Amino acid sequence: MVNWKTNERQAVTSVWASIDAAGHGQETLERLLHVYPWTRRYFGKFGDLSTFNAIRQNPHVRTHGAKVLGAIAECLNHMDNIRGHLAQLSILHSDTLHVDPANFNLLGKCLLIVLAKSVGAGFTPDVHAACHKLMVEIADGLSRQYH
Amino acid sequence: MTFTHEDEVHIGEACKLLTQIPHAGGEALARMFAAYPGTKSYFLKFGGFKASDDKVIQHGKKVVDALVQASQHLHDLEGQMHPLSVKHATELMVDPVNFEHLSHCIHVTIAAHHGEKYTAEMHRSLDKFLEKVSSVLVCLYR
Repeated sequence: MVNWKTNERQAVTSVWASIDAAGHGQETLERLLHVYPWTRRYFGKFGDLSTFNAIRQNPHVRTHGAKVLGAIAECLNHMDNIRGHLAQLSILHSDTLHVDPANFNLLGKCLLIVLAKSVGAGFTPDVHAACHKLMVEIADGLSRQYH
Repeated sequence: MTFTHEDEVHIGEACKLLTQIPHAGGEALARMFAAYPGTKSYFLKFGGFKASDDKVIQHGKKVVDALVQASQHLHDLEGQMHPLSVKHATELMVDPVNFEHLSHCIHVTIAAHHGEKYTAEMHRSLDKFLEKVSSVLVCLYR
């Protein structure tokens, strides 16, 4: 079980209050698909993702990005049991989607960069570290049920 | 790994943004120490690990200066960085995974200061560059 210090909870809650699930979700997924192009293997049904312009114009990217950020936001309501909360999603990623767990870290990295862009100077090293910790916990929770 | 002409342009732009951030290197290091506390184990003599600590600022400047220099020799990174490769292999012996951590914190530093300008294209090209730099730094390890 992860231990959250008070300032870490506050930092994460404060950053998430300013999140726009659709816009930030879209940008996070755009960066994932463009910076780490091997991640496109999981999104064959999205259609054309071959160039950055194609990624930006693809409506599935925005929709899916919003879904992912929505799911992450929901984790904030279960911060003391992220693993338990993500168990079903972990089974889905393992048994149905067959996503290599390494990709959870890549998405986490892209999201942190989007958060830094959005928050700006307020994204101090300590706030960054708290959000990073959340990403690590989420990645861990999503990979827990793999077998 | 080869760098395209677009990569060269984007890497140049990203390094310019980096040099426009006061104590960018120190900030990237401070982010790394906060998010990946194990990295402090390489810097026990620093005393402090905040972005305002002198040793963090000094070392950060060294790192950014070396990156900017390297960015001007994209087609001969092994040659230009050879002395640093030797130093990391024989003296510093930093576990390779840590270069990835610092690289990520460099991206976050640029994004926090120049978010609107830090496009996905720049992010991708800089990530390629930092990945290559990291592999050159460990290329003499074994």
